[in-house]
Amino acid sequence: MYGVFLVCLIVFSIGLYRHLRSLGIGAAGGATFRDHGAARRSAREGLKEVTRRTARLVGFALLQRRVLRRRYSGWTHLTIFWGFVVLSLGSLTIMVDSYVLQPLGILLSRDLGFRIFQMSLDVFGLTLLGGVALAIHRRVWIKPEHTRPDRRTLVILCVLLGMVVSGFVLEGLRIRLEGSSEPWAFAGNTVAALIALASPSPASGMALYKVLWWSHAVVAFGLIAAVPYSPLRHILTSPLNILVSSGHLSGAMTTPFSLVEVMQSGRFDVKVGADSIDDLGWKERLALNACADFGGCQDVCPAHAAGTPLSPMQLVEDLRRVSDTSTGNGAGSRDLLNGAVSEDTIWSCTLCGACTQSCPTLVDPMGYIVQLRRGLVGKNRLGRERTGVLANLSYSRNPYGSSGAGRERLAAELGIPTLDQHRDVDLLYWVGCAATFDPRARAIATATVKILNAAGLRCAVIGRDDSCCGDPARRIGEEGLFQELASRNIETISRYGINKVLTHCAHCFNTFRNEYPEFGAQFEVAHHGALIRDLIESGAIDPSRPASEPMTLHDSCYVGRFNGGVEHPRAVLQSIPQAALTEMPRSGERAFCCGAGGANYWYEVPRREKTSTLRLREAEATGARVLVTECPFCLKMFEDAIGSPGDTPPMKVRDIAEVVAEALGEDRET
Amino acid sequence: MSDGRPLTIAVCIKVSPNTAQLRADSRTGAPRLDDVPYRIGTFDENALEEATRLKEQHGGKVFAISLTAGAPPQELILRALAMGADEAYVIEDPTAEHADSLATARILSAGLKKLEGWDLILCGEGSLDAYNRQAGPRLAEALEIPVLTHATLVEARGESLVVHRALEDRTVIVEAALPLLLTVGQEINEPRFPTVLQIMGASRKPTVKWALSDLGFREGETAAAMSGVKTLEVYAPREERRRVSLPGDSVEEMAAELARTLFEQGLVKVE
Repeated sequence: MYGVFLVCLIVFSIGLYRHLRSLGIGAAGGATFRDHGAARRSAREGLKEVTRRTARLVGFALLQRRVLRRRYSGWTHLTIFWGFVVLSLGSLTIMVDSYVLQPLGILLSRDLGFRIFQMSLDVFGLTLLGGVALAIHRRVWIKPEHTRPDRRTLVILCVLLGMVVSGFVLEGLRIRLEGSSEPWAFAGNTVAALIALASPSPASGMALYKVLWWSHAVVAFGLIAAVPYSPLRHILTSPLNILVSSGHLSGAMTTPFSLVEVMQSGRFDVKVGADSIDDLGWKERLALNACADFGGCQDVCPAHAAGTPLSPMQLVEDLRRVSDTSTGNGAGSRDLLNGAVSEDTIWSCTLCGACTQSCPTLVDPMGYIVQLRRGLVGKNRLGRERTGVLANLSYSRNPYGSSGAGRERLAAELGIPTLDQHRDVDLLYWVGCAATFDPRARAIATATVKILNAAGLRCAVIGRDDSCCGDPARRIGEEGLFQELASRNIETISRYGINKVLTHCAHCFNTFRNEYPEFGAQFEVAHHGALIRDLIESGAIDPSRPASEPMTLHDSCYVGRFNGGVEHPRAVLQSIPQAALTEMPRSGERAFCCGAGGANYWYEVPRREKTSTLRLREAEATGARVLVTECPFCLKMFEDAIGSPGDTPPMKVRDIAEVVAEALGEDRET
Repeated sequence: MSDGRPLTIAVCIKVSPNTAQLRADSRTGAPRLDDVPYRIGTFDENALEEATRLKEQHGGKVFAISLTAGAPPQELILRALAMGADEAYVIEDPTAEHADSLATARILSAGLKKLEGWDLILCGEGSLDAYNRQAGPRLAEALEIPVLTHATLVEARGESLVVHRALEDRTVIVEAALPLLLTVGQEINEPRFPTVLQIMGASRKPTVKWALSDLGFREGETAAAMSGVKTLEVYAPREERRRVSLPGDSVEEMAAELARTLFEQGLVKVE
């Protein structure tokens, strides 16, 4: 008995050691990433952090909040989880009782506590039995798309089934052989009664008991030994990852270096991003092991839905394979960018964050994409289109590559001053590249200015010194160029002493709000939807002309999911008389990306269908005639997806500012 | 695979006004050069990329050489180094912007003679601003080496190169002995995009600055003085829009109105 246990323990330990090795702990290289943004925490904040992480462990591991988002498999997993936990603890207690306490002469009383213990073992045993049966049914008969036909998982489920069944038989046999009556162990009692029907001889009963007992114990120890080598490893890694991962979806990407520091130190050979598994830090590699192939990430991934080569689950699996096979004897390649993950996979991601938001074990697939993109950029592997975007940003400070003439004309065309002409303003209107250079997006700015004028707000634009906020550069993975643009913009805005910035672009908004503060920005930024809501609430504007057609709202990832701005656009639309707002199935913080994020607006990837087309269909299914957007890039994506008008009038796509401006009625501009 | 040996390659680059950013003065039509950003010519970037590619394949060394008026934007020289050049040679002449192809070729050839040791010279097919497409062939003439223009594929083979030239209606494959000068266009490759960190890091690579006197030119022998062709004026044709708006209640009505207007004004004719 002890021998078998010892062998299993050794096998388990070897597996665990290999995993620790594969995390890069104790090996050369290791973590190269640090988050410059993470400030040192005070003791008080430290305590808060501990509380937060504990709460997360309870919510995500013990209560399985995100797992339960999927009904069938969620409840299946929850029952298996709790059945497994309680039975394991119960078995451990019995083991300690039989092999440690009783030999030492310590006898536990068989009072009420013991009876409850017996009963809960039976309850959770039945729970586990039900969960395992449902899980086998799901894998063998239902076979959902996100579930991998993984034999190992099925084998484990069958082993668990055998364990529970044999456990009940053992209990029943014991009760029968001892001739006792244990009404609290109701399931065991029932089995005992069934055995009694067969009325086996005490000798054969005893023999069966011994065989079953030994196989039950050996298989149990075998399961423990198998943990590090099988999908069961997530029992250890997932809770650990929930505890150590940063855990929240952040609108700010990590900052791999500070350009200012690099320039001051003269050490330009900073390793940025990941091209080898060694470039991932131990937390990132632990997270690879924490993935339990749940597939929630894949369900919500717009790139996967569009039929691009990307599946966040597959990505994590591919990286894990490199992590697993690159340590120890006969190690495989540590390279990530020559075969392990394809370039098309990496560029297919829209960085919408839905995967990271959905992961029950707090793995961050989007984070790996960012690291891999930075790795590709460092190796100058960008391809023609992305090289073009970065060259445009580098030479023209806008992704379109247009000349600065457009920026100079902007103020006059919008009918508002530049800051050079008029500094005494309520806010700076950061028009952004889209509305400066794209005629369709320009209409958003025109509508916004109409609203600002109606409210009597004085605003100005920067003009010729305007430049891209840097979102596409950062999201393609050219961190240096992003920081150059960010510093330049922050310098420009502070030069004018501006402390309030308005933008109608979800990307400018997110970058200003979440990423610029790290580089010294001190101004406040408002998304136009939020400002319009405030103007309506304060009575500064009154959209009184009734809406003529039913609407549905597409939440931008960088307003809704990343910044929680889901109520204000709805409040704005509902303030319009007779507004009929229907929600799409995926809305608010769980909206489905338009396909433009992560700089995808600027290049094509191989795919079956446009993400924007999928979303447009979802919008059309609501019966709405107007699809309201809150970002020029979402708007452009949908208008492009509509294509040429057919027999039925196509859906209209309107920015929220356009909808409000129209509801304001006749031009009240002076 | 080709059996090339390590090559020493000189790449001629011209730093010129970024024509994509160039605006014409609304009154005179003359380009407003006062605030236009500069960049390396796009074809010169192709030349740099091809040189770097050959170096990565066969080993060797890449020099970038440039004739500039006064101090060029340092960032652009660093960019050339970040794209793969190992050393940069900058010939400074305040009158360089008045240089014609002849003067450019004479000055660059003096620099390349001083450099020595190169096997191959790569030039962009034409400059971004003037696009005369003469400097490359004239430079080969001055150096008395063969020249192949419109190279679209280059393979090193021992002491010679096999070069594909895509001409209007045919592709010609030729073999030419080194040393040799090639001019390339955008068909040959996709120039890499150097990151900001790589550009900054390139400041560690050497940049050598020469005045014309360092290359043996006498006083008064400036780019402007050596140029046979003087540019008198450059201006953009004036665009005027009529800004006609055609009213109508339906698409059909507006389309009919548009067609009628186009016919009336003689912009569309039925033959």
